[in-house]
Amino acid sequence: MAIFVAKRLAMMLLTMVAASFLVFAVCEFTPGSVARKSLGPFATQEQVDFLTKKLRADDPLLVRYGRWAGVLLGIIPDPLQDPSTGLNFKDPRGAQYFGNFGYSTLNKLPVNDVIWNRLGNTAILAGLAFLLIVPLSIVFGILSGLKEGGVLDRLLSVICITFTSIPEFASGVFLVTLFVILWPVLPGTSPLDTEGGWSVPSQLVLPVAVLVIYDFGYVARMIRVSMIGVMEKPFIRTAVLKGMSTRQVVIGHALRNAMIAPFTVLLLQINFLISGVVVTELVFAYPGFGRLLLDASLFGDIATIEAATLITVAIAVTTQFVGDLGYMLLDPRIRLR
Amino acid sequence: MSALVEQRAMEATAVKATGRARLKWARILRSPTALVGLFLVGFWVLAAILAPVLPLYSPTEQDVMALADPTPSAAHWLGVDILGRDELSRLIFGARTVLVVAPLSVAVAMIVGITLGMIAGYYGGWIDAVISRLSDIILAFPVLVLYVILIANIGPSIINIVIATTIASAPGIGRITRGLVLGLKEQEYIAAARLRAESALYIMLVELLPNCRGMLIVDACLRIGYTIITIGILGFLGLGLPPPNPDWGGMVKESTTVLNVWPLMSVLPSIAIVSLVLGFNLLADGLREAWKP
Repeated sequence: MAIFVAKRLAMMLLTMVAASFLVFAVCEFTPGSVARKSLGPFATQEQVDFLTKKLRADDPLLVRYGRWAGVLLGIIPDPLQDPSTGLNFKDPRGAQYFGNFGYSTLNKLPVNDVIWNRLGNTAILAGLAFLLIVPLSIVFGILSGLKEGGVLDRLLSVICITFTSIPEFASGVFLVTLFVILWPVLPGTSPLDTEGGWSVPSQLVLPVAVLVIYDFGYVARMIRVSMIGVMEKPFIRTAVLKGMSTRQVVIGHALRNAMIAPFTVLLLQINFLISGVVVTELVFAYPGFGRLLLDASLFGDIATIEAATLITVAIAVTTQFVGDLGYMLLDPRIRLR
Repeated sequence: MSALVEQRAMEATAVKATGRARLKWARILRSPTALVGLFLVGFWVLAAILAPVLPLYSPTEQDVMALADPTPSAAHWLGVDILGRDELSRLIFGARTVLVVAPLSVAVAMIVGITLGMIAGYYGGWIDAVISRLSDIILAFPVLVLYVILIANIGPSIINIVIATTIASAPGIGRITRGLVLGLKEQEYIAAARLRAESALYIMLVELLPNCRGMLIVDACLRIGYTIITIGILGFLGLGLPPPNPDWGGMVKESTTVLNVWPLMSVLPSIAIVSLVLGFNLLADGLREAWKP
């Protein structure tokens, strides 16, 4: 068990290093662009060349990646904060500390000042969506998995397939048209302040709904497959032949077994929701992590992109790890092996 | 006499074989979900093919006069967009774009993914370990984040969307193929082929691939649907195909600024995307039900 955990932790770390390097390689494909982005479009070529030289931004890719990692781990100070660059970039935490994600050229602020706040907003959005997705998909999945191919199964399956076919921006358009324009009961933007006259909870309704619509059908389908598998097992037949009622069989025997595989699927949805929030946050002007990542990617703000990627990949590998652990704990057959 | 019996038997098996193949497809036609899916996909494919011969406005031609009232009229059945371009024509020409790019992207991703999965599953050992670990790294990225970073940096074009799709979905396809191959590898006919000293390539292409076909076709169908969504999302994020190519996601994005006044401009391309994706998803579901072993 300890070896398993240690192995997985090492693998997680390796994945994060590899992912951050890949992103670095894609973003930094054109060397020297850091200087241009830090100085803005109106800087002269001499200024850009000077800063490029100062930052040694035309070193080989691997060297620059090593320098970025050094700044992150607090081994070397962030070169962008060096007063001699004339950029006047200042981080109140200092230029050299562990977890220094560098300076955001888009926001002209240390990445750490921006990203955690945004991540918190997104966590609220994704968390609420998750709270709705879990019970909804479990109910749908179990009801349709009870009798494969039955009328209820076909009906619920078609509903689930239809919902998974609606991308977030489309359901955003539909919901805004219905509940903001035709029947104005909800706000169409969610800046999370009350200046527009709408309470914060009311601003969360539509973004959460958009996330739930796109995702719950998929999870329900996964739970359905697992439920069908369990319902075909001999112990279910035995329970039925013993004369137990359908309700007793489902609650006492089928449910726990049917929930083992979807547990992992459900956890992986956290990862999926991170993708989903990018579009949802753009539709509703929600000040979250997804939009920050999108803006940073469009602007080419490498420090922010790297920080955001590292955080998303960290969330992804952590949920995978927790999923595997939970799987072991839920299923004694795997635990004993 | 015995020759006759033998011939009869051979005829019978021949009928049975073609009959079974026909039955397999006939079962799809009996499933209502697959039929609806087939209809939706067929509708858009037909519209896309016939687009140049249909009596439509050009998708890039601007009718400035129609901008006074861009809602549906006798001249423009579905109205015009914010630049006065015919909505119906842009929807149909938009189908052309998406129905070329999505299947093409998925085809390339399938080729790469199946090749990697086959090699990993068939050879096992360190080859499997390397391919699987690399896949894990890519699969650890939230898919859309991967797309945004890639397209924002290499620029939006058909080729780049194909590249991004391949990078994002080949690992998943590889993982499915590998799982299927691991299951099939122990079958007796594979052992038989090995005893006959068939090459690894022959076993992979002739023995293994046809037996993975069903699952992979279903997966491809789902992936086409998902890629259509992704292309739509990229268009919506402003990372879609460069204008003036009509692109459904881009159409939604352009018109959201006037959503309060003319919601139809955003609703129509949204419905177009949903209907086509739904078509592929229903088709995938129908195929899976019909081909269940």
